[in-house]
Amino acid sequence: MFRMMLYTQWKWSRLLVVAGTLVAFAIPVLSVQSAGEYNLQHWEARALLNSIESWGLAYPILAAGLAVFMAMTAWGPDHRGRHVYALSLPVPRWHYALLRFGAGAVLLAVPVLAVWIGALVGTASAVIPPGLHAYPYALALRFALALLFAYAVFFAISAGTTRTAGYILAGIGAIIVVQVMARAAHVEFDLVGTIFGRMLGWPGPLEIFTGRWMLIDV
Amino acid sequence: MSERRLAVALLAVLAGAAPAAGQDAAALRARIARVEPIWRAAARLANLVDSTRRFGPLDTLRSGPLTVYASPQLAPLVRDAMARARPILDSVYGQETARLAAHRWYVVPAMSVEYSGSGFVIPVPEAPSLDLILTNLLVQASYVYGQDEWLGGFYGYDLHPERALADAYIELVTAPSGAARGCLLGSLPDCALAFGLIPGADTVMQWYDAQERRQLVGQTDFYRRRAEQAAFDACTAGSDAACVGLLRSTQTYIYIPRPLGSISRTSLLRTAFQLGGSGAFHQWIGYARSPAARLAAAAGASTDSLLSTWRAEVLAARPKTVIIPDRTAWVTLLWGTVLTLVALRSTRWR
Amino acid sequence: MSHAIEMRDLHYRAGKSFEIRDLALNVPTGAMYGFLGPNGSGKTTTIRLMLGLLRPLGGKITVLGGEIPREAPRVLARTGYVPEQPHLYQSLTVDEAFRFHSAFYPTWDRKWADELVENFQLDRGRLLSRLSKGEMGKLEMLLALAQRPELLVLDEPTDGLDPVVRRDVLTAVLEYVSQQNATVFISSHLVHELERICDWVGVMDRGRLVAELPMHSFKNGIKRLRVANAPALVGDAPFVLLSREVGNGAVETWIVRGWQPTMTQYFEGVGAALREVVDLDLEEGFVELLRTFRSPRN
Repeated sequence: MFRMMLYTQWKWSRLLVVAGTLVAFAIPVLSVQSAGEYNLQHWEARALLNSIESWGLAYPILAAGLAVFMAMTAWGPDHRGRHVYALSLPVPRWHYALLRFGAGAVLLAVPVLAVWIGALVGTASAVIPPGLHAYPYALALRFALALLFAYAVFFAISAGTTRTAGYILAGIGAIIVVQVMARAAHVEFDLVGTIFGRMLGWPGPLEIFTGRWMLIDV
Repeated sequence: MSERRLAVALLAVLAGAAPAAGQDAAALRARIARVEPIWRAAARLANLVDSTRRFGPLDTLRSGPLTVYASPQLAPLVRDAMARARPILDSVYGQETARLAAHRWYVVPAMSVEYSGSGFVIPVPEAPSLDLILTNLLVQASYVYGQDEWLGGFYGYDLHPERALADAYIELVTAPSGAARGCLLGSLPDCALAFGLIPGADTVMQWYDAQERRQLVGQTDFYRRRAEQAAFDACTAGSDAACVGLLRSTQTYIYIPRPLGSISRTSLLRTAFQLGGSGAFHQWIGYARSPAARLAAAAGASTDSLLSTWRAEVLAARPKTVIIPDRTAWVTLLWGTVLTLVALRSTRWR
Repeated sequence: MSHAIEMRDLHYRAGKSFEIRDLALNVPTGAMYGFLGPNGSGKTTTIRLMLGLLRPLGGKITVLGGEIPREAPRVLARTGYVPEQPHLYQSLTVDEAFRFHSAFYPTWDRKWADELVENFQLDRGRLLSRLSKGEMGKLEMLLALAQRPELLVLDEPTDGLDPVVRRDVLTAVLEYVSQQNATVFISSHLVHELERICDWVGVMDRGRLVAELPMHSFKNGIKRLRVANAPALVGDAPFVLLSREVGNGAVETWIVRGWQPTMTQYFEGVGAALREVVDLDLEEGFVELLRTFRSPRN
């Protein structure tokens, strides 16, 4: 059962997985290659780190992008068929959703492996200045966790009904309205900032995205 | 009329007013003192005339020691920028801010004409931001105080204060120097050495060990180009004497990379100024003494005390580690599990 | 008599304009149950409620002994379902659709599935999105049959198919039923189609079950009578008068349900004369039934 679920997921998302894997492999390699000119000047470690850091944004963007598209492809065919086929299959709803989630998660392991291998290749091909270290495992782990979390978010949203999506949008709208009203009333109350702060800081769900996405660091 | 021509004319008036012969120096100084205000007023007028001719009519804006000539359409923005710049400049330069009064800034729309008069020109785009003007004012203010040889540049307002100490940490950790490593481990003499604060130290020998000297020569294009091929080859082949010879053959320090460069030094200076308070900058630039003595004077504390404070600050500013803390990993997994459970509970009712 | 499907007091509402209320339906085990009704009468909604695809507001549904929706997965494992619209993943090939579908059904009969592919002349490598409507109909039926279900629920399975394909599909169903003694619940608005194959019939209109009876009763019980000197009031007639229409002269046309030959005596008793008794086919009976149901009296 899971094998067939994995097969259909692969069929629907193979372009995404292949493209994502290539990009995932390329980012760490390119980040080190583009910093190569600094390697000879070991006292320019800051410049090297800046160069590596400038690539750091690419990892969470890739993770979010892969997660969105994987979640969309996981549920897209069912949405198009108004879930009639999925619901007429002889498995409980939670079982079906778990199979779909698992299939997507397994396929997302491929870009994670690509980041890890790319990081190993990139660091192996570079001269790392004294005092700096390569963190291929930590980077791959961070990417894996961020990807898994983002996938869980978008999978949950995508699994919901139009009504659920409406509730989420209404919630976001309500927050914005409250913020606008507070500002109009000259009340010092940064609701949006507070919510973002809570989400980005520990133990918020987005904390994993806020860390340092550095292949090479002190 | 240009300022230079006006000065020449005034000097001619002074020279012609009375013969120099027979006058003593004191009388001459008194005469100059009387004429100087007239000269300054004339110079300001000349500046204004000169700038008006080049930039069109300008509004004159004053805030404390700052005088800025700005295009009328930019005047409101410039006034805001000056109001914001003043407390910042006071905090950075203290009483030395008064020196800025002798200078003029021009904030004008970007133009192709090269301005050759006195004063700092800040060409801005048609719709500049407040930050752009403020940043330019702060940066150009630092030029008034000149470059410092020990610092390796100008000292001014730090545009990225939140990163300054973290950058210094990186420099301290990555410097390929035994002195820097010693400093990292807590040796204050090593810190002083790495900062170049020990007069008469043999930096070539004390900053780097033999292997580091070899790498330094081998990896630096300057030596590759400049050196005799034989000496370069000998150095890279393992002859420390050849390496030392090459390093000593350089004329100035700039060819021997300093273990702790301008990033660390600026951060050390900032620590000194924080310790020393409002008069610290004055102490720093006011005396022609060794860098160590100037730093101590600025900080109002011993060099060791300053270095110790700086080291503690830098270690505390260590960049957030790349390694994912266990709690972050667990909390991410927990959130992921919660969301997956939410998805699993998605209703079958459509 | 045991029932493969039982519905009691079923209540469901979709928006403001459509409602199923107090629906009670019984499908005998082993029956070929035709579910008739005009478009929009609630047939598909009833089927979806029956399979647990929709949530009723009230009432009780039991299918193959399992309560719906609580035991839906267990019931669905023994039920073959062909929906009104193709519901399979369009990006799969025929073969992939087979493999995917069979993975969920432990009773999947691979050998028979292969035979059906040959019989239906389906190209295994073709994408579902490229199949014609007839091919898709055959594939849907094939998937439902190859899982060897105890209950087949077919929602307008032949709608839009050409006569040849329609016959292929219905033949496959009949063959399966003859082998397995399975229960078939087949909805359609094509009355003639059901007339030939069903032994029970249920008629649905406007969210209500209008009639549910054995096919022979339905076919034989509705008659068109030509009555001379008909009484103004029918009174205690032994049949159900569905409609009456004044024709030429003093002769009226009556549509009645529950007619028996012995009932001619009734007309003599009320001073009328029965001139003619005409058998109605299923479609005419169906139309008359709906017309009666929709009349203001009802």
